[in-house]
Amino acid sequence: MQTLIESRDSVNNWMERYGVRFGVYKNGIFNEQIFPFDSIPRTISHKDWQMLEAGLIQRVKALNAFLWDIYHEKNIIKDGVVPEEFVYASKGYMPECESVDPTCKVYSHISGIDLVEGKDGNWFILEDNLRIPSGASYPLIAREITRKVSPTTFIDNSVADNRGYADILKDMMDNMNGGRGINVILTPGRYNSAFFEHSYLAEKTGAVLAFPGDMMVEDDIVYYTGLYKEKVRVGAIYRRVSDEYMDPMAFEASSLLGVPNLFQAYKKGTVAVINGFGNGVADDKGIYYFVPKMVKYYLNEEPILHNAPTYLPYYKEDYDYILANISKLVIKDVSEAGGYGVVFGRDLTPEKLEELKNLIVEQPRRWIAQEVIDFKDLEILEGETKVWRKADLRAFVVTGGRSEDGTPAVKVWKSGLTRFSRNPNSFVVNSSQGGGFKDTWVMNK
Amino acid sequence: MKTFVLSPAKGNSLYWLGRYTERIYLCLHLLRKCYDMMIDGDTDEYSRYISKIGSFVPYLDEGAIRRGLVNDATNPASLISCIECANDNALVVREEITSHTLGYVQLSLEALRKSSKADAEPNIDTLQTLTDWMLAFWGSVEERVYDNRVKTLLKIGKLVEHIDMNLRFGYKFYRIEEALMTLSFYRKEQPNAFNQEAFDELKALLVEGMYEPENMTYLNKVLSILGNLVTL
Repeated sequence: MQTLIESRDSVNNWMERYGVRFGVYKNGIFNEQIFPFDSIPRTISHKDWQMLEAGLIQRVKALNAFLWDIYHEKNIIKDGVVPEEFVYASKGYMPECESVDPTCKVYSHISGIDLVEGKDGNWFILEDNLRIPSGASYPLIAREITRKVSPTTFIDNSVADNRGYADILKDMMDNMNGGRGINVILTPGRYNSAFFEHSYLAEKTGAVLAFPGDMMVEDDIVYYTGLYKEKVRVGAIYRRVSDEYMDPMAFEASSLLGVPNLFQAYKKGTVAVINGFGNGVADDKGIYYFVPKMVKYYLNEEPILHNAPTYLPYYKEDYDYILANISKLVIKDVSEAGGYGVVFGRDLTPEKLEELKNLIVEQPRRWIAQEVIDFKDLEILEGETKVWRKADLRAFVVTGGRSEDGTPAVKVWKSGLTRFSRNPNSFVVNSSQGGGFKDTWVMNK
Repeated sequence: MKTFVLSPAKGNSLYWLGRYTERIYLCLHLLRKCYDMMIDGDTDEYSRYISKIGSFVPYLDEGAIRRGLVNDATNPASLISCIECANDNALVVREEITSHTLGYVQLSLEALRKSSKADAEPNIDTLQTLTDWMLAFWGSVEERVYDNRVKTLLKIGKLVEHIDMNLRFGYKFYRIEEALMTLSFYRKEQPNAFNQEAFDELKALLVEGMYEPENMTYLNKVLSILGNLVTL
């Protein structure tokens, strides 16, 4: 391990060589920067991983079942498990998806589930990302590089090899495609913050990296337009463009990022879209509260993984608790993402706390509150000094691969993106807010 | 298994990547030649270089010229501008050329950025390393790119730039002739990539008896046709 830590400059040189960057817009100006990598890995014991793996599979199965139900029978609403206003008032709910059948009933093919480990060793789910979760490429390429730079580290430590992510992804894309055409990864373009990831995953999966304008729809079939105007049929699109920009004919009319009439083709079932449309209703911060209930409802199982203790001002009891304890809670705006819209009550002045209370009173559906989890700090190197910082883990669950019984396989990638805060006083680990990342080692024994 | 299908935009990026990497390679060679002539006191060599390469940025003295031609990102004819353009084109075709091949452009860009602190004198050692990386880039294309169309588009760009630069700097005709012969071979392989009329016109002008790169009317005409030769 020491050799790996000592080789961090070499690791960063390799990252630079491969163009491992992410883009940030600040004051309207696009800048690409290196995603700071810390060479001390997070390790997850074999025993913990077995529990996490089972819990993640269970959770994602329930979330996919929920999405199918919401856009079809709506039994979970009829049975009073999830209040209908949480579904229909969610920004992520798309009425256009009603009664649309995605390939093999899979909505969330790639789920990025954010977890934290408490100081007591218990893991908690912080949020589910079911739309276009990003970040897998960073630990993927980091492992490729660290194995080159410090092979002895991996001889001495029995770490699960994580380099098969592209194979898991490709298997899922091929299965969803069903041999109808080529696989493509649709990127919004060169100046998207995650463009490195789009192009790297295209390289690793052998998919075609498609840019806006590269595809067209004719008679409900999607085609990729080739060099000399030849049309090549597309069978599966792993899109990295948000729902609302995917089809100007169906959604945001001014979008130049999407493919006109794509949604019509999707509805007809001639193309698989990965992840499916309308997933935002299930990763809404308000819906998060109900996921353990979904596990019981759809799978008839006890949830293996737990949410952070969460309160919904929608319920009177929770509402009263939040207003009485706001200074010790973390308040989240359900419509925000990327670490934005998250406020710690303890950081606010009495006046600001009052303002926040008023906002909650005015729009209780807009907020959730959580107990602040004292999550485990991880060691990182700052200069030559080891310091402790807050960190989370984004686990990636891939649904829709081939399986022996023909049902879509659900696989958890034996790795994940560990993000850490570089600010000693911050719990916010998002890369867009200056956080760094680590490799995640899942131990074989 | 990789899917072999290219969009027109990617075809265009491959062509320009081929052009820019060749330009970087030749500029490095020519800059070193300028440095060499400076040793013997031929200070006009830079001025000739500037006019031939089409740089319109005025520099006040020799030092500023030397720094500007290498490090001035506001000058489209500078080395760093060429590398940035090569990089912009390479990034969008990563999956076609592979991360390993892209790495040589990235390395060049980072090395030059690091060595080009504001007013620093260009580092000859770094320049040699860039030459090595450009050669490695083309070696990596040979070794790692399996789609012949991708290779061909890169090489078409390389050959067009090769002819362009050799014309501008008045190199001997046989250098142009060799490149044109290879380009004719690629024309047969990918006819749709070329403006056929322009190609025929170019061939008619690039014959030994007519070759006079010092004649500005002739030079501008050939360069203009060359600019319209590829239609991606």
